[in-house]
Amino acid sequence: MKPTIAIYDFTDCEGCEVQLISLLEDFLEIEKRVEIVNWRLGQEDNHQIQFDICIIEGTPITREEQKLLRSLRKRSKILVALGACAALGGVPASVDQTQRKKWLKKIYGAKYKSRGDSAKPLSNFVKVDAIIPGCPATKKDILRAITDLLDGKIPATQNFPVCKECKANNNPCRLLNNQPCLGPVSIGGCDAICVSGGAGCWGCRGLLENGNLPAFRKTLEKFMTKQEIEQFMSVFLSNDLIINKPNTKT
Amino acid sequence: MNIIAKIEGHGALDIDFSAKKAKLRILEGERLFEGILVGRPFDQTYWITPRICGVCPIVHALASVKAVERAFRAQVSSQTIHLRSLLFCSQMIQSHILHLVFLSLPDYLGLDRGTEIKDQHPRYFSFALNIKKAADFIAETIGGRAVHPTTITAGGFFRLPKISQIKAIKSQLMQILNDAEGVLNLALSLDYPQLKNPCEYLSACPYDENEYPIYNYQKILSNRGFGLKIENYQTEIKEKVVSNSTAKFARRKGSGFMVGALARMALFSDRFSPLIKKYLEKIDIEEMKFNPFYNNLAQPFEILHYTEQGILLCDKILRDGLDERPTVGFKIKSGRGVGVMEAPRGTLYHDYTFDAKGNVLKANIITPTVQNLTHIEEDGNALLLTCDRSKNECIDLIKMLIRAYDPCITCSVH
Repeated sequence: MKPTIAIYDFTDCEGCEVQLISLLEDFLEIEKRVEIVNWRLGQEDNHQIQFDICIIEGTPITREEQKLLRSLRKRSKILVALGACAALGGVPASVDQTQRKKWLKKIYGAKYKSRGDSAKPLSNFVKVDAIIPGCPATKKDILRAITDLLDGKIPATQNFPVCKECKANNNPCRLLNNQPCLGPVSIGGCDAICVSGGAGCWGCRGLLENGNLPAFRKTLEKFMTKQEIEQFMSVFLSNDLIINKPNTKT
Repeated sequence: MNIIAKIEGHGALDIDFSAKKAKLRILEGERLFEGILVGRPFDQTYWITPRICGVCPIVHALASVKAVERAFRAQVSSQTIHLRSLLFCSQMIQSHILHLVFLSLPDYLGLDRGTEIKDQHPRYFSFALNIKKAADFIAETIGGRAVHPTTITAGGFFRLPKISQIKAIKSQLMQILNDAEGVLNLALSLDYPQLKNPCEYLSACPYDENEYPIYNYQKILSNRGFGLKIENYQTEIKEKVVSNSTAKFARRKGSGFMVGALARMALFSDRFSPLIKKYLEKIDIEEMKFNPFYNNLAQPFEILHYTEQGILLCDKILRDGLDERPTVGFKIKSGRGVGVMEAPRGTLYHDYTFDAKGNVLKANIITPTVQNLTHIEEDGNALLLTCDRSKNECIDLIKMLIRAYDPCITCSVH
């Protein structure tokens, strides 16, 4: 029997699922090897409730999503976080809980009852077996991860910095030119696509486990204020910043 | 609860058959983008806001960067306008073909998942794949990436494509012209459910009176024969918080209205090229008006239109050559800027106010789907009044109607 796959999405932009569909012929090849039994974005016939592999995109902001996530964990053999929102909390995490209250009131009015909490990664609620990182996840990583999973392997997380591929692409170093960039402390494997485009690395694939953050902050402080650094890092890494508070090590 | 499958984002449909009322519930979590932006420097706005939507990130980036440039009174070069217009064409083609093939066409062909079209209509499916590939190629070449562009910056671009790449884009667009005609022919052959529910159509209107919406806009045009000032959008379009929904519902003068491909076609179809006008002769545009199912026919018209426009833009860029300076200089100052774009699903507003250092003081974003939600419900009600089928068939038909609008729930709950 073919392995059964479910694809779920919580609150997010659904760009990683667009990347999955954009695999086109490669997506059709995947389809031959699996049975997609639950995929709200792709089909109406979603009756099966137990899955070999459950791929989840997005961050479980609402209480309903958090409840569903816990239930999906129980019903899935392998649970995969797809993209920065699922893996890190992503852009939606850049408003914290106190800010959330303020903005909910401003945007929706005083009487509005919020459905949500602050954005957290899936791993805040359940055990996650594998991560496909990035905002958006790359087509290459999605394909690699699914191929590994179908071979019975858990896809590995890259452990080299964005700088490795950035150098290979011959981009001038942004940090040496006093431009913000999180390349040295961020997980690579993205082909440094944002630096090549001109936007710098914002760390969307997450922080390297062994990155030296205190030393890296000192480098940024040569041309950025502490507030600018926090703002820059908070776009994707708010939840990591709570753990890696600045100046805890001196 | 009826979760609506095959739409971008999470929505549910409640139907009260005795009262003949359809109600949409928007379930997506609040992300509060307008709050996220406040206090941040201007150059983070067009990096953060594309993440509102993974299906139309390019047009969010463009509306955002336009708002910044308006606030700082930065005049971008014609080269930047040409390249951004070409990038915009890729966004329209990309989003429309994705929606048609994966979300809407299965309804008309009696299928469930979009990839099932491959077995039943292999020719059309290969057309769609070619079109998607070409659109992604343009987005990657000019925007740096197919989803969430990397090259867009205030004043122009971080980096420019090479002339050889523009030539490659042109040749890809030439190759998909035939495919785009094929998809349009398929859409012309479909049966569209009957519904007639007159409403106001709105679209941003170009300065050039021969131009179909593309990049620069003079005003917002209504089918009721008048124009609205872009800067006044907030007094003309009222957003309302409704119970059981994390998206606001917009109204104009108390009623729903429609934006998107069908609205644009209803307002501007006389601006299509001779090639497309040939196809227009095969249909009655008056019959298309006020039947939202025809949004699914307007989309392939636009795919063909923006493919043609893309070719013309490549010719212009090749004629002018590429200046090496990718950006123009500008002075950061305090002030407000409204950036408006016609997105695949309709008019998109990004409105920012900056302090003297260029940090965001205030941000307001109105997405197309927020504008369409009220009228989707009104059309649902109209359909319930005339639907003489079984309850389940009526529910399916209303879901099909919702999908025909191509709603983007994630955009609507930003």
